[in-house]
Amino acid sequence: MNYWPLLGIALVIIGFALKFNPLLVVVGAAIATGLLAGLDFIAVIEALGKAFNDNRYISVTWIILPLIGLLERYGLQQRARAVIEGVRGATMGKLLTIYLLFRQATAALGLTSIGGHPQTVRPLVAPMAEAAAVKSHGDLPQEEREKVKAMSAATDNVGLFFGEDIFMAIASILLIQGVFESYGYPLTPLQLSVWAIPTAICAFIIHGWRINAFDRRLARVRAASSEEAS
Amino acid sequence: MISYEWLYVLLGIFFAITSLLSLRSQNIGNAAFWGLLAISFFFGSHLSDLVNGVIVLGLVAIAATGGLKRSDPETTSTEEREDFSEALGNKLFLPALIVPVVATATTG
Repeated sequence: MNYWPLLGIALVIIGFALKFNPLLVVVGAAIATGLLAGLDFIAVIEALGKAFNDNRYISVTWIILPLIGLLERYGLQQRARAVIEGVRGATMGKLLTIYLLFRQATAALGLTSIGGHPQTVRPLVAPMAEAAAVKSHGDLPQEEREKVKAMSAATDNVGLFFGEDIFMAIASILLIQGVFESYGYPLTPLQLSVWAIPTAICAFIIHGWRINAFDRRLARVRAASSEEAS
Repeated sequence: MISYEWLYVLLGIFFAITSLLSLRSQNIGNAAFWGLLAISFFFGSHLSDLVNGVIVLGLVAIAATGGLKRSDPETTSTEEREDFSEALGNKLFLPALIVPVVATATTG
């Protein structure tokens, strides 16, 4: 058994740790892996071309950009902010916890395309979370605003990732089933789905706690900075 | 029935337009990157694996050498957006909601 191709994984880790261009890191690692596995250079390029071509559907998300761009040009983010400012008692913690629950619940029903970074986080959830945070904590420095946006994006990730496995007809469940089966553990997709539920509940509790801890931390940051100012 | 191939052509048109706009604003790196991507989406299924591989290498070369830059298109100011947001109200959300509805209905 030739273990040298595994060096590609190390290249990916080192490349990302050193913050090289991600595209360069991934393709560099792919070529290295292919060559170390004994393929000739042309065969590696062909494999790369075929994989890229077969996976073009990943880029379908791009199709949404003109719509979101047009709506933002006409004030979609401002509208999202205005709506949340009008809700009494709205806090960033509550808003993102509700979004987390919504994202997990809909993903568990197989409705994975209902949210996402381009279509809901950037134009709607992030501006709403930012407005809610400013509403409860007062004006925030740019750095904290960016963290609010990052937390909004993370909430979408966590909700989707720990919701979709409850739905059994999803690629990840089929992948898990396939891997287990090849090692001699025959499991049905239903079994995997059922046991994704405790994980999903843990994810909701843990990430929900993180969201609300972040909200409380913002309050402290705000209190500290206003003391300095006065 | 809409096949992926149709979608790829639509995306190819989008990338080609982006490429032409970059060319107009003298942004050669961006024009080359999006142009290559447009070629991949238009003709990828008919090209050999090797040619597709060379396209990928081209994309990587442009991105890795810093040829891909953020563009600065003409757009509305924050104040203008506030005004539009006031004037259009919650109707602005309707087109945004089409996306999840259509995506859910078509992908099941």
